[in-house]
Amino acid sequence: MKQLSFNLVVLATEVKVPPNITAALRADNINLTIESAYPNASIKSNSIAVILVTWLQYTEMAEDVACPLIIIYPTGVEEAVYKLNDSRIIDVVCQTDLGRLEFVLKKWVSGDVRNPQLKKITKALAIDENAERLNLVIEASNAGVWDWNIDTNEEFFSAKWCEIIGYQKADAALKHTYNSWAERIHPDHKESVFAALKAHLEFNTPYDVEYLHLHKSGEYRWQKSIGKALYNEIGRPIRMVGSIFDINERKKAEAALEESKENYRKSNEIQQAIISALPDLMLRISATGEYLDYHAPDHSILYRKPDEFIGKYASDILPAAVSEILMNGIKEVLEKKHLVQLEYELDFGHELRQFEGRMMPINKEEVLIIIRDVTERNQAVDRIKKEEERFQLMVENSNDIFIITQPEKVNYVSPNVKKVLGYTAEEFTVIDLQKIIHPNDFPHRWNELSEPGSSLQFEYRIKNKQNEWRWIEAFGINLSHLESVNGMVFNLRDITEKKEKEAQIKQLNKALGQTVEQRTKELQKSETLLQEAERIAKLGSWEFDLSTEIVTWSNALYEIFAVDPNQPVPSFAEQKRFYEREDWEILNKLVQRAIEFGEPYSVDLRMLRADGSKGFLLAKGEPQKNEDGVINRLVGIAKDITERKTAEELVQKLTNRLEQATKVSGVGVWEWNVKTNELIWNDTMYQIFGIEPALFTGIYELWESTIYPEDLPLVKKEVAMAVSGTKDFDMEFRIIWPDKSIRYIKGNGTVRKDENGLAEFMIGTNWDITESKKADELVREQRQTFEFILEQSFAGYWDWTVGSETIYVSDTYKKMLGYENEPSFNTVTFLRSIIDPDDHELLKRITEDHFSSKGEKPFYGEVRYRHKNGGTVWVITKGAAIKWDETGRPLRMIGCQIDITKRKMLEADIEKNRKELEAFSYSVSHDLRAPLRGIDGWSLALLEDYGNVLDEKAHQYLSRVRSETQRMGQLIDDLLQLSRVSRIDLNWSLVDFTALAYEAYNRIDEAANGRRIEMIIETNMKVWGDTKMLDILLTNLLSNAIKFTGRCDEAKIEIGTKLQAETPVFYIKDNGAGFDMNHAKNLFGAFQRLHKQSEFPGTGIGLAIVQRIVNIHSGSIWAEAQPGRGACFFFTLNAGNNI
Amino acid sequence: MELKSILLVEDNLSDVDLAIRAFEKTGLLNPVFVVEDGKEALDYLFCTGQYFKRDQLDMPGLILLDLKLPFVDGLSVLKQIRLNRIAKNVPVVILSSSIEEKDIMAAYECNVNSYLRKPVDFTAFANTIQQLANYWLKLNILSPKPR
Repeated sequence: MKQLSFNLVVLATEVKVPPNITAALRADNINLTIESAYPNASIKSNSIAVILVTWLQYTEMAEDVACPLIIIYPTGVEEAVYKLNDSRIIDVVCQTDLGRLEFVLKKWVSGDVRNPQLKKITKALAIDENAERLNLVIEASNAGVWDWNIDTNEEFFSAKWCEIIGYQKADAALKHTYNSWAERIHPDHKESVFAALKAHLEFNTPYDVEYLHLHKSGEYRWQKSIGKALYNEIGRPIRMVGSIFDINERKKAEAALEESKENYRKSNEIQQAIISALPDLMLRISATGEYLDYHAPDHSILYRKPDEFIGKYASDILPAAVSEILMNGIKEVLEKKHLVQLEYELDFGHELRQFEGRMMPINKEEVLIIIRDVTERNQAVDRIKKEEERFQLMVENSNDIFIITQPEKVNYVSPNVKKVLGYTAEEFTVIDLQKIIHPNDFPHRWNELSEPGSSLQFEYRIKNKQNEWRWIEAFGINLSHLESVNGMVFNLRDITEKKEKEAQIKQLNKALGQTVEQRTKELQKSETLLQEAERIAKLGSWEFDLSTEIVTWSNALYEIFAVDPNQPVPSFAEQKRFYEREDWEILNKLVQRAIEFGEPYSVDLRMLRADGSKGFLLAKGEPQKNEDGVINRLVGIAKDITERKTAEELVQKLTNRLEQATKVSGVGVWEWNVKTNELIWNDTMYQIFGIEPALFTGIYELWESTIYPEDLPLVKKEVAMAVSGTKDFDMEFRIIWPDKSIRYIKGNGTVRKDENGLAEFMIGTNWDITESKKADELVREQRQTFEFILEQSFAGYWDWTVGSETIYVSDTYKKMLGYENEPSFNTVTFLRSIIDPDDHELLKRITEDHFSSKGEKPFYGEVRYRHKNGGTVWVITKGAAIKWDETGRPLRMIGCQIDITKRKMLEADIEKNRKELEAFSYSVSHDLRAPLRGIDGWSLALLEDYGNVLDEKAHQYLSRVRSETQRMGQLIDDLLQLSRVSRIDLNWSLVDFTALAYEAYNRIDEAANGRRIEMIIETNMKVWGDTKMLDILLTNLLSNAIKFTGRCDEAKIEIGTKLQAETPVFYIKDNGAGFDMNHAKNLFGAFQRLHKQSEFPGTGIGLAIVQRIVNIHSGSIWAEAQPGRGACFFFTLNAGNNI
Repeated sequence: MELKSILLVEDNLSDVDLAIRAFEKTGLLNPVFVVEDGKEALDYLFCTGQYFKRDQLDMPGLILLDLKLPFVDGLSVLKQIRLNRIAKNVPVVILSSSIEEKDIMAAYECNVNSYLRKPVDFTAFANTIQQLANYWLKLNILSPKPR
């Protein structure tokens, strides 16, 4: 290929030809030499000049240049560039689109373009009038118009275009450039849109795209865009115009359509699937019974082949009876428009089949029938029925009882239980098995049946209706995992006869076995009898050969010494280890003597067995001589006497101890030999019975003769019972001493029997309980006295062992409630029943408090009982636990009860009176004051309104009316306060009396018009009392003092305390008017006044109030005074309790 | 500005006249409306019964309430007022002869604004009324009308 070389002269320093362009050209055999020729261009003719144009430069430079020109222009000067009319220009490139240089150069080189005439391009670009009109039309349509200048990348968007993506045309945010459009394309669509655009520009394929474009709102909306490029003379696209349409709605609709199509398709598929999965035959039948259509899972369900019945009538196909059923069904369905069910049977030749049909109307003329073959189902039902019948038959005819049961309830008992056990099934269902199963056989293995599937077999005796024991073999199986049973199934079988036979066989076998055994034993016995005897007697024999010093032992000896029988017999010397040291020495000595002097011996020895245990041994030895009369051996026996020895020791110990004990405790011990009638007493017995030992005859009758005649028959009876073994002797009885005094005895005795079971001995104890008896009697007497006293005080008494149902209640208690003759009165339940239910809670609480506080909190309360006559009895009940166990639980509780019904009634009366008084006071305060206000008010009105027509006297009278009225008001107030003082509930606390006095003084002083008063109040006075009351008291006394010092020049008031007979006395002293003690008799009575109203006004109630407050505080009040020399009021509060 | 009215609930006509006389002496121009029993007071306030035509929102600036009243007693009236959406913020002053502790307690339990005792002395009574009217109708700032 021809190599072409060009010199590219760049006439502007700002233009940098991208190296990739030159590289790309080189690949096409175009060598591009780039040189910068500006400003003094000397350009060869085979060059292309690339000029960055400012118009001044262009005209300056281009004149001398003869070669072709490519104009590179900055944005903004497009119009001017298009107007250039210079035949040297081969193309224009926007500075922002230098990449196009390659395209331009290639075209140039390939000779496609020569000397273009730009003028023509310009013309092509001009919009003529027609185009203008077209534009209007487009604007009027819903299309948005765009016009893209490919060189400048600027793009014009019409108002509609802008509107489609949500902008005003003038919106500064929307740039009218190609990029502004391109960037808005949805990333997924960019590739396809740009490809379409490129294809159109390069190959002129139609540009018609749909894509998502970014709307101002931020969402992407569907757009359709079509366009067409305009080319210049040299075929280069320079401009592209087109329009867009908002197709978002269409697209949405399309999508929705697509979706619904898809849904339809799916639901259709589902329906199809459902229908084809149905095992039923579906038939569409007309009102006249013509078969229109069918659907069948397979053809086996069809009575006839499809081509035999479609289009035909039911009456032609089906048997008359079935056809009638069908036609009636169709009629009913079409009339009533509801589902109709029908059943029928068809003969399929080889078998009869049952069908169940369900009919629904499709429309007025057509009916849908869904038909199911129920032959097999019906057969199954029949089978089950038959099975059941067979089971019933089997159950009823068998000798086995079947029971189906759940843990709490028997579900089924087969009726043959009547035959086997005599009970009807109903009886057996509810019977208590515990009662009819033999107690020894009651199955304790139920838990083995707890797991589903587990089974259990057992035998037991059961009582039949005739009360005979029958042996039953039971087999149980837990079928709770089977829904149809959900319980346990038992099969009971009467095996009594089998059992009896078994027993007979067993007995025979046993007898046989016994015979065999006996014979065998007899044989063995003869052999081992001796050894056995030895062993049983723990008796061993031995031999000691003196010449050989060999010792031989019988087997029993090994056992006695606990030596392994396989060991050789130890030599005599070695036997030392079997004895205590001292005992060995004794034995050794005896053996030596036997050898030397031929003396036999018999001795008890303490032995030490080989296994380390200790015991006693009876050792006997005898020397034996040979023919020559020389002692040559010793023979003997050894007997283990450990048990005997131990028993002896124990008896000895016990005897000693018992003797000691009986002596100390004063218990007499006796022993009576029933057979010989001999009676043995220990020393204490003589003391108890007051009998000299010398006079003791030693026979049973002696003892009997001492017994108080009245008690004798009972004693004899008890002794007889003891002898016969019925019960031990244990009773209290009285005896008569020789001095005729009567003593109380407690006796015990037990019988020893001989080997024949007859009473042999009777031993026992007697002790004197006279003192405790007397004490008991004393207690009884005391209680009687105590109750007598209580009864005199009308108090009822009760005594309760905590927790027991019975409770001792005294007669007064019963009488209080009208139950004096009621024996059942002594139960807790009964008492509760007559206690007012409202008081149960209180009783429970005080009882629990008393117990839980270990008696700290008193058991005390006022409760109501219902008297037998129906009335209410109020009582104070008070009690205390008097005995507690070591864990602090109460054991016994006693208490008393006092009838306070009368008091309660009085209290109610008082309460009623108080209420009335309160109501009275209330109305006084309201109703009595109101008219006073009127009198005062209207008097004043008269003075004010008619003062000018009233004379001096009338004025005076009216003033009197007013002042009297006001005094009346004051009087009412004071009376009210007096009554209130008695009514108010007190609040006790430690009151700072000093502070209270200051407060009262300050309050009154304000009202005293700033008079100069010397006030002395003692510091730190404190007293228990009600603050409000004490305030009223102080206020009254202080007011008095201030009032009566009103005429003094120098008033002086003193509040303080002094001790009088060790009791603090409060006082308030003034130097005021005082009073004459002779008139002070009723000083503290209401309305008592000692001064003229004109001198010192007042109601005379203040001191009455004061006295009442002092009384309430359990104190007293008195006064000392002299006319003109002041008064002093003394009072005590809370006598004895002041601080 | 429109003068707020005073509602006087008092069954003793002598007291009513005295109160009105006292009001006149104070020189206050506020209209005084008198009802003689508790039921009428409620009818007036809640625009029921004979007062059905009254404007519901037109509440008195002050209610003077006696405790002992026919039909419906003063405490009940007070309770009803405090439960009513429109009336609940109207100042209520108990004017009673009683200084029983339980009466005073009960009134304050029901959120009374003030409790005054009617003195026997009319001069003192007039003083009381004057101070009362002065405080509640001139100095006190009322709660805004409910909307």
